[in-house]
Amino acid sequence: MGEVKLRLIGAGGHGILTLGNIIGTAATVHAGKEAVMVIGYSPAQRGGWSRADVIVSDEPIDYPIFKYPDVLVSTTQETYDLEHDNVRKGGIIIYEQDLVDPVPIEGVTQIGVPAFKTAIKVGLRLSANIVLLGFLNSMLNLVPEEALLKTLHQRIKRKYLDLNLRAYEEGKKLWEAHSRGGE
Amino acid sequence: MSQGLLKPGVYFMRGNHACVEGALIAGCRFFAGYPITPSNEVSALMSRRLPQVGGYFIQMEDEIGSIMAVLGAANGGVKAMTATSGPGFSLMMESIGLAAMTETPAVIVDVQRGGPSTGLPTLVGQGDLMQAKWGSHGDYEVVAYLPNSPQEMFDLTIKAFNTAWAYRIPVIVLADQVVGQMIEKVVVPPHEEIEIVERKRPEVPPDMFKPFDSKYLVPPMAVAGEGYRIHVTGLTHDDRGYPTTSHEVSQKLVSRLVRKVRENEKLIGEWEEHQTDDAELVVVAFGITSRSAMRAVREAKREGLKVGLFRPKTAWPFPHWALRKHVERGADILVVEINMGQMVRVVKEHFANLVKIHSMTWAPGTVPPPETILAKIKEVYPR
Repeated sequence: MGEVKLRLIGAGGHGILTLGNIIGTAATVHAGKEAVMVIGYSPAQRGGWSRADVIVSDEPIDYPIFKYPDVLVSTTQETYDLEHDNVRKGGIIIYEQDLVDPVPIEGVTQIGVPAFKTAIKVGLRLSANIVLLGFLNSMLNLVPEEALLKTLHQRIKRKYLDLNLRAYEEGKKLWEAHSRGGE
Repeated sequence: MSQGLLKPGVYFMRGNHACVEGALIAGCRFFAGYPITPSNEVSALMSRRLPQVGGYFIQMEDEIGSIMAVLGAANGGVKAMTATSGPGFSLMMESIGLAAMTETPAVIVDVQRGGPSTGLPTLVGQGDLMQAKWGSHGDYEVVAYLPNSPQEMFDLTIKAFNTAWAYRIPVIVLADQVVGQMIEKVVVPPHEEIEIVERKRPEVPPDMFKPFDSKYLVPPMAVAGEGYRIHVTGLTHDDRGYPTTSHEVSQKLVSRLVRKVRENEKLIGEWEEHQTDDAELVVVAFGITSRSAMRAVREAKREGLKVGLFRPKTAWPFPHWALRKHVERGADILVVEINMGQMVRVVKEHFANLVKIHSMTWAPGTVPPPETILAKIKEVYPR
């Protein structure tokens, strides 16, 4: 796989940092890979955005900061507008389908994912980030699924585990449907 | 013994949190602090973790109270630390001198942000390098570590405790906002493999004990309540701890305070080198900047330039003897740092007129990107 630079960004409360943390933990603790995460926030105390820049790599990572991600995940229009121009050519943008109105960008693949709608269908709106996790990892194969599942079992409160595991499965299905229908 | 301590294993952990877990494993059981960005994760986690290992956390009224509480705890026999950032570090300066003068071991974590003054609370800086050494009045020596990863926030915090308690000095963990707040793999080794240093205790009966016995470089330390008579003062004091204006005593005391570190600099000093063997230009960088410099140095090598990286892991003592080898080979030096040229002064102090010493300064707020460092490397590369 080499190295993937992910920029996850959305509104505070969208589970962006948790998503980054789960990917990083799965990679380092359960998959023997390297990962690093650098966090950023908007200045607002409420209603601001939060950003997690995550690098997942097979090799030690010298420098954790990057400007141009390979993959951007954005869950709001504001953060999409802020970041869509930074995705490198040949990169991918995954956006929340019902909250983001994308603009055409040459050389970048853009995919809308109904993360919130799916999470609400599952029965836990807060699991939208885990829907995205299922989608993202099926598409990119960042870490072995087993490592992700182990991380979810360790990190998520028992009460919410089943719903989150379902959200994860739904995310996978969304990718499968997309890859069947898309190309 | 290791109940409540972080178990050996692999973690994906924030630098500031790794600092806490390292401190607890090193034996820290007291923390006093006052909130300040970007060091708050240290205090926040300490407030939760210390009670779990039988320790005490206290939020003080300010940073002056915090460092004083830490010194009190250490004199009471407990390993103690505080954490802060630039403005709080400034407030602690007088008491860091008190720690040096009273030979009270303490660990002070400074997660550097942009300065001067309140500067850039949430953003990176490396401008406290000189303050760490010269910030308090009078003559003394400190040790300051320069972590560049969450792993080193763990490892070097443990070393900071060991060094502080071995030499009875204040020791500073000079981190920065990026290293403190970034999240990365941290490996916690089996606890029995981690070296932990305890203070040297008095071996003589109480009536023969002198708390600042100058026959030792580092006198054994009794603590309040053990039955030994102790007197602790910031005034110039004799072997018994009593104030005096005797020049003979002053000479003995102050020279011993600096000798503790100066005579042991090669034992204490640490550094790391990459592809320096035949380097014609050695880049010197520390903390988060060293990781950008590492990328730049690798790229430069790919382009056929003989460039290496020398990374001090201790600012104080600065590992000049290790850098000297490259100076003697004739390698030029480029110092890259997020300040207006602090470490480069130290390099010049040791090697001025021997080789070309270049400086790349960078205002606080961001880390100089690898491309910018690479451009500077090309600009100053010897031809």
